[in-house]
Amino acid sequence: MKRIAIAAGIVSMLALPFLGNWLRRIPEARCALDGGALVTSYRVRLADAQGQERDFCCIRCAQLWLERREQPARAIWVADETSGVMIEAERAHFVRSLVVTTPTTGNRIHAFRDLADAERHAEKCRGTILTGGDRPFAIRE
Amino acid sequence: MILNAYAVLDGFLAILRLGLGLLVIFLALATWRARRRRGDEVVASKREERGTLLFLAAFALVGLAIVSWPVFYLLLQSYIPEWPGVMCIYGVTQIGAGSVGTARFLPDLLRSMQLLKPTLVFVGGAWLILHLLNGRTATAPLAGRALLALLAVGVLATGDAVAELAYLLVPKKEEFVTAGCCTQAFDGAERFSRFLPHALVEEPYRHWLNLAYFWLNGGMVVALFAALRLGWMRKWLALLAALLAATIVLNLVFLVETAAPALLHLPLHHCPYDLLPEVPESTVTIGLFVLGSFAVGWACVAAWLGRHRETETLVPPLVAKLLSIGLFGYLGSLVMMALELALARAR
Repeated sequence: MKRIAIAAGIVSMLALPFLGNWLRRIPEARCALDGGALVTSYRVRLADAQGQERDFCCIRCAQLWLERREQPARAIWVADETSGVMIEAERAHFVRSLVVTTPTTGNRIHAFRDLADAERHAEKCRGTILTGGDRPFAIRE
Repeated sequence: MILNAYAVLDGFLAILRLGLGLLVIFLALATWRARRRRGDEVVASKREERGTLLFLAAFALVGLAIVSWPVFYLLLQSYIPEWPGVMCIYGVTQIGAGSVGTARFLPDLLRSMQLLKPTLVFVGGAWLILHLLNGRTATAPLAGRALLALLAVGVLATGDAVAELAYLLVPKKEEFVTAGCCTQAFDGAERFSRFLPHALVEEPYRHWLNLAYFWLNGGMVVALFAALRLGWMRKWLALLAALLAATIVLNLVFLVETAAPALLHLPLHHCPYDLLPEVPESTVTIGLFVLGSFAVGWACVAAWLGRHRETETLVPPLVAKLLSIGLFGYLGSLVMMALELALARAR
């Protein structure tokens, strides 16, 4: 009886990783840096040096990811906060305001396709439109 | 106070532990004083009754301490949705940091509980080992040591219960996380691994850490197997104790630097707390390691603190049993971790 119990314990111990892996076989879309949930209006997508695309929950996460990579990204897209449409980062207008987009990272940078939207947000939420070296991804773009 | 099912359960367990902890302290001190006095049969009978009550209370206390350990983490897990800036247990442990009110004590209370709980379980096990050995002797030569261990169990359990009750009662709506959740703490350059050589933990060299993990834990398994096959000696136990300390440190570093990012499929995210909800089976791996390391520690306690003329024949089989449990824990944790990492890489 004791041997059966020990054998059952060993078998379940060996089976657990397989069972857990099988239950998680369909990966859900989440932030490539910290696993946080993706929100359409704030997400960022980048193609790394190998061409692999990764999604991030906010600009801060994408910046942290790039800081820890030696090679720059091939391409970066950000979501227009007004429509949720993905646009190239270099065409976007960035605003740093008092509004936090993702509480887990404390990101306060917002991306807009239209300058008018960016200016409206900056005025409404006491923000600043980022230019030159202050723009996110400025060096790596 | 945040009231949910886990808070009620945790509070109930803490109240029970507080009562039993105080009872154990009182009875242990009374027994200690009574040991010094000589008395007639009535006094001896009273002492025996008190001893039985003390054993039952301490046994229940150690059992509750073991149960309360996972319940505590389930409680922290259940608090995550309470704050928008919190995504895992780490964030919960930071609530109250920087506050000027009573909430400022929350992070320290949690830190102390995270240290007290494993210490309490280990000391409780050590007491049980000494009590078992002492109970099989004719003149109870280890009674003093067992009583001291019991007093330590009572003090630790009372402290743990008071800290837990205080944590439950202190208002937590006062201060939110300001510096973000675990991404800032575990993924930044400021994490605790900065104290270690870069050649061990930096990304390009991490295979050295993986090698060290498998070699050291594998070495521990071989050493335990050899100790069981060849018979144990005090020198051998000293080696096992040294290996035990090394594996605890290395496994902590490995968990943060390699296991968490690999199992979470997030190469730059090093938060071990995320494993609880995302890869729950990894808690079994960690549990097996804790069991293995505690068993080896208890074997050392039995051999070193349980030494007496009367226990000469009792200690070796007990140590062998504990080392077998240690072997099971270490081997199980090593095999499970290897399987989990291989499966995570294959996906």
